[in-house]
Amino acid sequence: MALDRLLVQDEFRRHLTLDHTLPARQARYAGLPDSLDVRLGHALAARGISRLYTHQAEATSLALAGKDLVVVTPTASGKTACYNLPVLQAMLKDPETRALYLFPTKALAQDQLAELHGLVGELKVDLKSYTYDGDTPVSARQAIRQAGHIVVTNPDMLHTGVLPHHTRWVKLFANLRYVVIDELHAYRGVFGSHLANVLRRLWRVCAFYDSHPVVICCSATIANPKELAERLTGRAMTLVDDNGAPSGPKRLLFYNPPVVNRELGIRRSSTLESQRIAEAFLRGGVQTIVFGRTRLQVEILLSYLQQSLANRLGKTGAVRGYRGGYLPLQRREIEHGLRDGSVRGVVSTNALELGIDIGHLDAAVLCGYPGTIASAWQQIGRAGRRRGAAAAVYVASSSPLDQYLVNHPEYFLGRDPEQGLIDPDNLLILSAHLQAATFELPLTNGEPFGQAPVAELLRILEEDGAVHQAGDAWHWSADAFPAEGVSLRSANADNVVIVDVTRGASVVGEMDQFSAPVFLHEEAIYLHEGRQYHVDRLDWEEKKAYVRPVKVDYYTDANLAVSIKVLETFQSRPAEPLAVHHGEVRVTALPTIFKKIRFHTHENIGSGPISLPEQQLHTTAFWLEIPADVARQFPRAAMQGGLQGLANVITQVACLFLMCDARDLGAYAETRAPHTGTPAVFVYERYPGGVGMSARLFETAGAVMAAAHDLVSECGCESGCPSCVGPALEVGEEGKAVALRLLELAALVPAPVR
Amino acid sequence: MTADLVALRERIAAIAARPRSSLTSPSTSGGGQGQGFSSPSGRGRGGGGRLPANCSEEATPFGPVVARREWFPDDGDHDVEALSTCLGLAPGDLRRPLFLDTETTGLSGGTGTVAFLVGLAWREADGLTLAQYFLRDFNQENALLWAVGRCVSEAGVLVSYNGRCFDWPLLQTRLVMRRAAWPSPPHLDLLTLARRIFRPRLPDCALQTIEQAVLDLHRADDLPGSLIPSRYFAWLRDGDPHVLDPVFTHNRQDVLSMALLLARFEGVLRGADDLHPLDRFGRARFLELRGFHDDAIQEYRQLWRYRPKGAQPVLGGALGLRLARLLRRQGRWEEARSVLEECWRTQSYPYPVAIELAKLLEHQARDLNAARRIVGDALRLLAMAVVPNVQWQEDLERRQRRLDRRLGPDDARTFALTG
Repeated sequence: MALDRLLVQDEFRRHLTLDHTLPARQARYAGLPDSLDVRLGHALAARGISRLYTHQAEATSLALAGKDLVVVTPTASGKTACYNLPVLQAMLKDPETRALYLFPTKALAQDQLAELHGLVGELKVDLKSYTYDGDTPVSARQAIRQAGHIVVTNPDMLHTGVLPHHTRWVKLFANLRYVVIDELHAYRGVFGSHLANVLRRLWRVCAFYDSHPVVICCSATIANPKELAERLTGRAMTLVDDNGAPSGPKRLLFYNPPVVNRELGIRRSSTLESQRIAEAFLRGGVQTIVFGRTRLQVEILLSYLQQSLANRLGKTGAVRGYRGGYLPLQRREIEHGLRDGSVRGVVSTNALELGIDIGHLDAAVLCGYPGTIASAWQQIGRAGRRRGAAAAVYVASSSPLDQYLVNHPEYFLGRDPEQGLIDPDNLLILSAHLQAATFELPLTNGEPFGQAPVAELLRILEEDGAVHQAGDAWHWSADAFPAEGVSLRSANADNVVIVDVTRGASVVGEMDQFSAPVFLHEEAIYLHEGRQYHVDRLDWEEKKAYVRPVKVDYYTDANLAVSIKVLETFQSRPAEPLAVHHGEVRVTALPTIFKKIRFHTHENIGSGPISLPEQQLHTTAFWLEIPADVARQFPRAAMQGGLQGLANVITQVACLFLMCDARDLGAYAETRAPHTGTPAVFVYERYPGGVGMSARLFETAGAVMAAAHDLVSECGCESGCPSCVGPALEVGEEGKAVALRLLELAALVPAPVR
Repeated sequence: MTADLVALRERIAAIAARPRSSLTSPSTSGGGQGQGFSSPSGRGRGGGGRLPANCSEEATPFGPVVARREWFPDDGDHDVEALSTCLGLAPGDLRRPLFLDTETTGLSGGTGTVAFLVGLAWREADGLTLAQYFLRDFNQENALLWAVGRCVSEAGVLVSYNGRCFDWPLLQTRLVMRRAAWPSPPHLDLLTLARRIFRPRLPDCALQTIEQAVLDLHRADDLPGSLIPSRYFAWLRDGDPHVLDPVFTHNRQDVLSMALLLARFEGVLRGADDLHPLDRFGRARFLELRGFHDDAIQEYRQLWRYRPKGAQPVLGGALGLRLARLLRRQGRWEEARSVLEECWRTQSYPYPVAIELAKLLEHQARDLNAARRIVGDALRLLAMAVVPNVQWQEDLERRQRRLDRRLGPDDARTFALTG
């Protein structure tokens, strides 16, 4: 195939750091559980299934025995049977039984429903399953509330559309036997912390109707599925991770683009290299998915590929883009095209990493490390499913994390170190849900809600006039709908809507309020479906960006000016020789200027100011403090660069340990921190109040520093490059040396006493 | 959001360091109207606030409920014959109406919204008894629901204004929350009736609009509905009964208006002589909708024949169209045709009239040439419209094509030129 043609090229082979064949895995089967209803056995047989994979059988038996469980399985291992079987079994036994399925996105819910309908169709019983989300017509809603046996929804809808109106769902809640939470690994960070609170509310409502559903979670491979499931649901979980599903052999290649300037540590662009590799696959007729790191990268890759393949593939429709911000109809069309083969290639963000059914692709190209090992495996899993050879190529970018991984493939292939972290007791998140909970059912005195100081919070809410105590309970007492103001997915509920002024003011897409200053400032070039738009005007009050399509040979990149203030220190280890802390900070960020950067050459061809309001963030942070006597060992000027380098590399490596996106963390270096006067490096969480990442960073500081030290010391550059501490231009000639010395000291930080 | 968290933390710290009894709310004069709330000691917590005048506690199996009762003498004319016939209700039921209106802690619904004042009225001893049940505090809701439920179970018909969408579902939610249940008597929502009959004349069908236009009632200093929840919260906090007075007054007026309105609807349905022409039109529409076609035709005819010069446009084309459609349904094509032709001459509602007339000419009168002429004229008129209605245009064009086909091309051209 096309891969063989690539592999005979020395130019390609020489830069591989890994050429590993993941062996085909044989299926391991178990018989249908004895307790399984014969009708279900017949239905499975009618679909060609006479036995189950071991993990399916185990999960089904556990669920039928009433155990809460979490199943960990790779892509396409038949995980849906793990919950559909026990749920359908319960419904065959008692037709009043109800189940609630939660998926992180509407698209996934639609997809799973199609599969469920297939199995239910074979059963020849009247079992109704429906999606209930923002797209459900109002006219259909009442029927779903009354008659839906299986209601498939998402956390957002449960939060605003179901729980605050639970009296309309008496049938569902009174008969709720199963709650299914699929794609568990998606619920980490802010989203997961919110969901944990939505589930706290769900359990309260279930208790009111005297139901105690069994919880079945499914997760991609992460380090702590059981812990995450237990933190999310507040229940003890049984782990099922013995995967019995087969898979075909897969060639896994790591490709490190060649160095073009050793001194500066500059490598060939991973974007261009990914494009070249994907192009080779596509020319060879191999259906290929290319994963980009960011929306910008996806759009650039897409336009490059569409240009270079325009003649070859006839029409550009054969290669499509896919990411958040595309309209649902566009997405459905692309998914369908991938399944029926009319779309030959797709360039996507991690939006296609989740379990959306796009059939079996032959090859995957990962342009840059997607941020977590779990994601990387999911993206790799998109190539080849059960049988037939497939290939996945990871093209490293010059980011420190990419360079660490591409040079340590054994780390990648070894045990997955990532953890799904959430903080259900983030005060901001919890207090929002405490209000929603009180709205749903009065809160009895002394009734717990997470680990929060509930009594104190209620006093505050009482002062605000939001709750009122009567007898032994607290009642909601405001003319407001508390769930409405709380978005589960981002710090800010209001998205900025992107309006194309040339097409009758049609909406092109939307963007969260935090990203908008960077991508939608006036004069920015915004890319969408391979098309360039010029931002004519950004109306910050109205949250609207007015754009018009343009054709220019550059893109734009914005700078942020940041300052930080420590409000409270929670924990410190003033150990020798460097001190680490964890606490609360206020970050002030101001977008300052943007640069226009020419395509292909990436030269700076102009810039302009951005005038948007300052953004304030009150959050938690981890910081490293360099005592005055240590700081004195370095010249002041070198220190500045060294700290900046340290900030850059720590943030990157931290993502590896925290299973978070680099965008979830911010870093900031200060030669004279205002609160101590000594040099310090801050790593802060971008979500107000934080969701536990900085606390975990504090606990694992020693290991993070050691990994950062390895990365910098192994990097071949002379005095800093984008692959370790950052380019010498940014960190100075001595920046790398100073950062390395500081990391040596920091890596000595002892493990915490817990 | 940022500032919130800082404030939250500071306030938690501050509160933790402060004894509970000294908690006071600094900014709570929500519905003050200027008079200071020198609240009595011990604030309103636990429903300790003073009650508005004439309230008393009544016993229920769930403890006391606060009620304010009044009795109004009534003239005794409670005929409901026409209404029950039109609505398909048993006259015996409609003679025992329970008028119901709630005041709630929120306007957006959901399980956290509570009805804190339920106004009820029913006929009793040659008069009307009004009972307003008031929720002294959230933990007395069982008693309130019991008291209201007892009245509901004795009612023949529940009468509300917008209760089908608002009050009744909200009370049902409260019942689920309190694990209680009531019987469900037939429900007459006067808003539906008002929309059918008075909508042509009025800008909206808010109860107060109807009161002014139909009952000639004018409220003085009425409290806007949107301010009602905050009044209750202010009372819970501060215990000053005066903030509640306008709420009780508002609720009382709503309930009494319903009783008057019910009698008025009966009068309207019985006879139309003293009615405004637009209300007669509304009445006829309602009769038509309920299937009383002969009565409707009679009314439409009268209006059509004696419509005043310069009457509202609705009394031209809209009326003519409705009349013509009913006539056509009864096979009275010639009558229908003359009504439509008159409409067409006066150019009121020209496009729907042209479509209706073309249908009649083509299918019943079988005069294809006349039908084709009307369609052509209407299309030419439509071409001059500022914003042509696409639906009408498509309908007319479809008709034109069919008529052309049936007529043959030459004939069609002749008529198009001479039309």
